[in-house]
Amino acid sequence: MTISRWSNFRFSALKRQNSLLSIFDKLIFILIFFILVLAIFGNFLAPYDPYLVNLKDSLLPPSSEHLFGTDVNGRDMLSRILVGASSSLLSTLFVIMFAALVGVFFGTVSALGPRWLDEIIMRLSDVALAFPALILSLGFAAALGPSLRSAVIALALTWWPGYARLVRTYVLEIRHKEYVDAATVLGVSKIRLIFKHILPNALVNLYVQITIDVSAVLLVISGLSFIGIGAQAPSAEWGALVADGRNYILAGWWTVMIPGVVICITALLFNLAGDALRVMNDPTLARKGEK
Amino acid sequence: MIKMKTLNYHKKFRTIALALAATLIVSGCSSGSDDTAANSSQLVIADNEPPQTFDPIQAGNSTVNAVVIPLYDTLIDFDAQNELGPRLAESYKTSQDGMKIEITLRAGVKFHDGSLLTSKDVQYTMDRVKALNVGVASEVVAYKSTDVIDDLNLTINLSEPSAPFLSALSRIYILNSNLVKANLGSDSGQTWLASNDAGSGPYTLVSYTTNQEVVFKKFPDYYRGFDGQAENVVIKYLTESATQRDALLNGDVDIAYDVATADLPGFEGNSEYAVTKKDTLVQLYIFFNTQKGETKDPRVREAIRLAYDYQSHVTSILAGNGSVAEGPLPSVMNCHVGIAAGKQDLEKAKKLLAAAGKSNLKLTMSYLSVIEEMDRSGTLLQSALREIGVDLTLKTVTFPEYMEQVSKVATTPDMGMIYAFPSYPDPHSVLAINFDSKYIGGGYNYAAYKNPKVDSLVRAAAVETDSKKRCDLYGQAQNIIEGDFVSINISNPKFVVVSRTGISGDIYRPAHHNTLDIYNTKVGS
Amino acid sequence: MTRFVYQRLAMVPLVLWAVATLVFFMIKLIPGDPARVAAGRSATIEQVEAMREKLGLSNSLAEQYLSYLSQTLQGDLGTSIFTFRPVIMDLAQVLPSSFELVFAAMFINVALAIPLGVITAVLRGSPTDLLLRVITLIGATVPVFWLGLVLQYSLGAQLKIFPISGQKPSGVQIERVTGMTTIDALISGNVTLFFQTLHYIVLPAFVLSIAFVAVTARTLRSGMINVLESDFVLLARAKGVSRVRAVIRHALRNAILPTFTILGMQIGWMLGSTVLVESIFGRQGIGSYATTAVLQKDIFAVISVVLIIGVVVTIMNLLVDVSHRLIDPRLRISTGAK
Repeated sequence: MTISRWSNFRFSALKRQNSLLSIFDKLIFILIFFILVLAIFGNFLAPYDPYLVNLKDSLLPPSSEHLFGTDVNGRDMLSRILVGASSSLLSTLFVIMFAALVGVFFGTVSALGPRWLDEIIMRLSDVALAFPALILSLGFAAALGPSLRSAVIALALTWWPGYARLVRTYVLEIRHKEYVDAATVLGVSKIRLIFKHILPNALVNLYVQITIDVSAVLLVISGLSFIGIGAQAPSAEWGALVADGRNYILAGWWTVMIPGVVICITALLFNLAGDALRVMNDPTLARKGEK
Repeated sequence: MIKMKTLNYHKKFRTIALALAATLIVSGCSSGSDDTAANSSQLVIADNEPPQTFDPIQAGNSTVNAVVIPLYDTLIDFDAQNELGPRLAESYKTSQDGMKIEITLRAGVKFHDGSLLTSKDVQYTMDRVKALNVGVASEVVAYKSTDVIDDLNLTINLSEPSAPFLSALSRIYILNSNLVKANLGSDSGQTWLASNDAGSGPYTLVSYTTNQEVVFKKFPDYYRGFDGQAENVVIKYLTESATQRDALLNGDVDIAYDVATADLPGFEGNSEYAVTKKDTLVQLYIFFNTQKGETKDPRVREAIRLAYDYQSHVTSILAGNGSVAEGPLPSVMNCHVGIAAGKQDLEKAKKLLAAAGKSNLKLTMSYLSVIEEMDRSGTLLQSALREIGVDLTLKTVTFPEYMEQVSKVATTPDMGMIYAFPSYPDPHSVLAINFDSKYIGGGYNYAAYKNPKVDSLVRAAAVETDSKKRCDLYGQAQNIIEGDFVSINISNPKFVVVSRTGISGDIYRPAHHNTLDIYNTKVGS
Repeated sequence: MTRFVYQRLAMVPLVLWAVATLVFFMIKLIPGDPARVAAGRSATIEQVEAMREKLGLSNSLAEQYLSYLSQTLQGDLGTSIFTFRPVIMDLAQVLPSSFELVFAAMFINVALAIPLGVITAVLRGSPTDLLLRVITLIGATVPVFWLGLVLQYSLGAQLKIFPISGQKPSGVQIERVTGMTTIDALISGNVTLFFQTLHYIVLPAFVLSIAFVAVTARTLRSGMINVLESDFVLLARAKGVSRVRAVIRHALRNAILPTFTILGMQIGWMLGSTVLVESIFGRQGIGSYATTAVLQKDIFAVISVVLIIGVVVTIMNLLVDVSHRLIDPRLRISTGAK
């Protein structure tokens, strides 16, 4: 009733049509791949030593020599960011992987197993869900000492219940679908049933959530490093970089602005990628203009 | 009918939106003139760490000292020129044998509740310090008892002569004994004093909002009277130097002393602000663990000392606000002997390590990275040590954690970066407390340094009454300590204060580092 | 339905007990020694041990756990090692400020997200839609702490539009009634002061709400789009109902439910996020209190904060669950199939 006028516009090329992914979406995935490469190989790609202090070069503005300028200790910001990509992204990915594995396991067991097990697992997840990620991280930071490690542990522990519940819901849904019944009738073994029929279909939706969550976890981890509870100096983790530069915003805006923008863009990319995946799963969303 | 109802919806939305906008605009307009920082009868100070208590017994900690100074008085105290002078004690005299101190109190001094300050209050305060044996107690271990002669006369008895005792009295704040006794609770009033005021000082405690701000108000009956001080004083706790800077720029705050070095030029060039730099008694050290690990070898220690770029520390990190340290005793202190300032020599450092047969050393250093100077210094050292083949891991600790680490030799880190904030300008406050082996595990001897010769020297100096002999003893101690390479003596930083123009007075006293002498801070109109 | 409520209600104490136990063991792992710090900087070993006795830290683990449980149930959350004040007093002082901030942020969340969700749903596919959604998306992905810093510096220090930190002008005393600065200022009758406190809360609340606005707006948009395409809306329009009325009275009402659920869930998350915002803007609250306590290794304070928040969030989740089922009749039917 309302969209017909707009859909004829020129920028329809940006929208998804027959191919599931628009140019825009493809660009996003390419950028993400690029960032992941940087995260893994950041240490080797850095033009300068990210830890070498050179006070004479303190707070140099961006130039051809130092693309992102230098920080207060004369360290090249570009190098710091490349190296920090490892800290930020790899720890984020670890959290998500761990949470996803644990979540899928418990979710599946919960959905397919006996009722009492389901109850226990759900109560466990209630307990875990009672703590906002940031608060639990504070607790772990107090217990184990502030570090990236304690932040990662805390986050992994808070994140899995969300996935467990999701997977549980999906599996429960699929369990009663016709093709499962059909497979059972055909004599497919229970294990094969789970791994080849139920899980793949259940997980398809999970991928979307995981991708979007990378964005969320990245923001939490960098936030924790910022307040001093996560990665410790001289770590180049992106949140720590913002904290490092915080006191020098007047004398060197690039030390604060650039890491912040980098975090934002990375989070944005993963968020958009998650959206794209969602549409891939359910093309009807594109038609409705959901994007 | 339908159309009218639709209009109502529009109207509702519009009115809500307008109300929101109006609120924002009005609140925006009303703030400027009312922000009381610009008001000359209120002084707002930015501090970066809130006090854990208001009990003066913990005034050894500068954060507590900062809030106790306006509320209480001491018998004698140091001024901005490090001169010890009378306060509550109108006159004082140490006996010939050094075992007694006769004190005559000033008459007519009132506590905030109106009662008069007498000898009984002094006796009570001193006895309480001794009984509780925490905080400032270790500065006055020689105290034995007080004899009250009359309301204004008393004698303090010591268990042994103690040269620094008088100086240490500058940290003993006199309590209103009746008030404290009425609120003893189960811990000699510590709980009550944690958030209440039992003093006679120039200001009374109006309120403390945890970790936010303390508000003080002038005490009109203060014995020294007032001339240009603010009616109200607020200490606002802003932990980040960036926030302090912003608050200064915005006018929220009148004085701040944790502004980052890089931001100082901005203020120096601004006519609305004044940047003041004061000499201190402070020294930044890195103490080695002299009893355990790789740092047990003095050649390793000597080598590491040679790796640091002391000059850059002062020119870059301190931006010239300070000087390189010369030996274990801050150079401004009495009895300082001529020891050369640290100098970087990477080649010699490498040779020393090679001669000692050490390669690929891995060391850990604890430091309080929240402090800008330490943060940058740690990073500088780490980078420098890489040049001589030493891998230094930096470990951020909080002060409590560091205290825990140095309480046992086994957990003392290879290196620990820490300041000495001497409570008084007497060598005892550094040379004895940091280098006498009896303080190992007891809080101050961070290097677990044990040299019987040094022990006997500093202990003899503590009871020696002849100042020349004392200096001789301390001089020998310094040379031995230096020869043992106990610590890296980095810098004597200055105290840098940024204030809005119009504030004057002797606001800083080296004997009370990291605090402002609020009584001597005058606000212009 | 009531059976469901009782079931969930019965679970709450169990969950809370598990929460408390988890927290207790977490804190026991702390490497620092709180007794030493409380005893003072120049304390001797004997003094430290005496302090350890006093704080009960030398009892066996089991004894400590049991006394911890009993004390907690009585509301005794221990004494802060640093302030010597009961933690519950400290918390009572700071908790209302956090709630105040969360309320303000929720208000901004709703005030921004609902119009955004509705407009982008109605105008879906248009450039306006795209633009608005890009803006909200950036709001979701921008790091809260970074945005806070940047706004604090630009709007506060440079443009001097907003105050830098705190909740009220320095030195001003507001009589404490609820513990929420804005409400207390209003109660005291001083209108100028009330507006001043609002001035202090605007920036922190806005920064806190930004991430949530995006999610809320997006959820509402999805819901709205689904509803707008449904038959009953088409029918309403066919009957001559104006577009605006159709959108608001018919579509929004039905689409609002999942959004409402999201909002409920966001409260817990927001409470956690106060950690970042409070420290930047120097506000009191459970977040800044907890951060300071962690850095000072103040055991009892940290335990209590994690516990209290655990309790609050558990209760919030319960309320959201229950009200969700109450409001949406469709869900009541499926209760049995759990």
